[in-house]
Amino acid sequence: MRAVRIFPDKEFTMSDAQPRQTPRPGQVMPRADFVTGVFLLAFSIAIVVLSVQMPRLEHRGINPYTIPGIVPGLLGVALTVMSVSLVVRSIRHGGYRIAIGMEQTAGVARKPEVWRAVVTAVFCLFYALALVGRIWYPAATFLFVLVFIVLFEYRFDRPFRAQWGTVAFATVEALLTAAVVSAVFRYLFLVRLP
Amino acid sequence: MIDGLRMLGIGIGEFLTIGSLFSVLWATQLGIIVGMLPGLTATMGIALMTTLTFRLPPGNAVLILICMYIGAIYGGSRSAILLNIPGTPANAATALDGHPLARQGKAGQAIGLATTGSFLGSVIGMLMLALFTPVIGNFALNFQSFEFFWLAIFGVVISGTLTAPKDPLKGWISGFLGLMIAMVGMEGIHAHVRFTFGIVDLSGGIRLIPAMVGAFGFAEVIMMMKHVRVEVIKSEITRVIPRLKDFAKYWKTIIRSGLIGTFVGAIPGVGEDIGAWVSYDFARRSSKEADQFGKGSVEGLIAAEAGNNAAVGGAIIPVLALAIPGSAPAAVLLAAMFIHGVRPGPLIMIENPQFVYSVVAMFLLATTAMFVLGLSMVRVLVKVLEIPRTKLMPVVFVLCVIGAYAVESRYFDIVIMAAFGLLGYIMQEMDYPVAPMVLGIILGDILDRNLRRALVITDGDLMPFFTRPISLVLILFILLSLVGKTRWFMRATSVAKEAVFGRFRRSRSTQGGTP
Repeated sequence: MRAVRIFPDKEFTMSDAQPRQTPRPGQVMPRADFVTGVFLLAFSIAIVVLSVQMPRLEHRGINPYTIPGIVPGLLGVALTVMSVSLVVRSIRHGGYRIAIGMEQTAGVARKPEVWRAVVTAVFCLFYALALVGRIWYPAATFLFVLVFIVLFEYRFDRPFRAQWGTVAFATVEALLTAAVVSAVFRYLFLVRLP
Repeated sequence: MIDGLRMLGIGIGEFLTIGSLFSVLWATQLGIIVGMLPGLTATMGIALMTTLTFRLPPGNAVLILICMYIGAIYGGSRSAILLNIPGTPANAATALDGHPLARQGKAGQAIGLATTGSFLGSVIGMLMLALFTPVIGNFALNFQSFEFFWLAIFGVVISGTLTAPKDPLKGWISGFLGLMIAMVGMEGIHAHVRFTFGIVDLSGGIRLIPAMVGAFGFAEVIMMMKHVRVEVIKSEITRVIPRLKDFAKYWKTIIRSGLIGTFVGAIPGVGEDIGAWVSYDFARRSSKEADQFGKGSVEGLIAAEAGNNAAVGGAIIPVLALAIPGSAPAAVLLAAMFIHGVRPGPLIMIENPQFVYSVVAMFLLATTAMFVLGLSMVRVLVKVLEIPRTKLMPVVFVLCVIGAYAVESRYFDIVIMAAFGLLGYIMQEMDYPVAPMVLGIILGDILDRNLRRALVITDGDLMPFFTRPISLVLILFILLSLVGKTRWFMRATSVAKEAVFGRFRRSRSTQGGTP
């Protein structure tokens, strides 16, 4: 049994970009397709159900062909058909053979690029959704830029003395970014900062 | 024709002020830098720039965005040549021959060729923009709800087919997902609020700018931080000014690539990247030096760059004539035009024809600036490529956040940006193209209103959807893009081709065989 590859290895190569001699659709990542297919299927069925349940506004005497649910319903049906073909195709290529175990999870977690992506996403979300709007905007921005650079550039296995330049550069960049962005949006574009 | 030239003259005159020319220079230069930096794409650049220019007068704002667009699509060729990494997806084909040239010590020559190729492609795109926007706009006046319905379906289907050549199904799913996203919020006929689940902020629908800043900005930040840093190839940049003989020799390739690029760019949701690939492919097939392609072919490099820059002009044609974007950056441009109160679409040639020619004038200024700036300051600008991602990406994300917020001063738009960033990243990882989704978000409203309107007109009768001539042509195109890549269709067409042309070939060979 093999695990779902949450992050398929997909380094960009020129042969990838050039559409020739490509494998048949569905052969590249059948397990990922299976998972997304099942998710999309559930999503599209939900859309169809919600569209059918949507008010028909009879009390307003509207033309029955203009009920609000008609177009989303049809789109839901189209998405259902496409999700079914995605799932069927991935099953044909063995995509249903998925297993998420400790070993596989650890395998994914050991990849440094996965960590970089996760740390970036989580930290960016923290800044956008938790810091901005809650604390003073320039301070939030300063902290974000500073910590972001230090997080990715500072090597904790080396002494601070050897890397003070990194921290100093990050501090200056963070200060400048926070000051310039805040000032430009506040005073030039007259935006009330979040 | 005379009217067109007069309006073009007015358009150019409008921007011949010191302020406008200064804007042209800085915006194009910034576009080149944005394009050069892998991870900063044209779409992201224009989306962020829209949020920085929304307070300016419409003419100046659109001018800056077009300069940014043209600059970025060209700028991507630098990193394609020097790093073998396309600065924007549009320059992937450029890297195939540009980078081998750089490795042969001809980086300067490659940059010069790319610049001139881009310039000539852009000029062809501009001419086509000036010629065809009025024609298509006037033709689209015949469109009724039936045609707009099919046009919306055609848009997402063809965009899905062409942006996901390896797996069109994923492209179509992405497009329909976009159409579905457009269903969120208050609908246009009865003002009924759909799929908001009690969230008041969603009742106005999902705004395009925050969604695009997320899908093309935040998603790209994650993608860039995921992959390790690349080093600049140390290559001596010598002569940048290209030789005239290179262009005299390949004039056919340039014109062909320009026309193909424009045509591909004008197809809804199919952008500069496909324009470059198709031009490149055509150039290789018809070249006498086909074996040199991929090894540093001058012809290949020119074809790719002329193709992608011509596609910019092509992508703006449907923006102006139909209010349907030809590419992802053009989608932002369309959204920006709406923000500034310009309403493109079939009526533009009646209501505001001057705007069309003003856009052509902007295009001319941006193209000229791109050419001049592209051939100057080459050695200085190469240093930009050495900026580490860890220092650049946090600033980009700060701009994504404030940019998403600024247009309407709504905190909820930051949430939308973040959500679309994650969605865009997951889609890229799972090989789903993002462009059809964006197109779907724009076309969703057109589809919704026109399908229901058409059903009211016909009182539920579906026949007019299939019997009107323009509808029939659109249906044919939809069917072709749905089945065009299936094996049975390809087999059937090759059998049909053999049956028709094979007979001629056989009869010719028989004639040739008889003494």
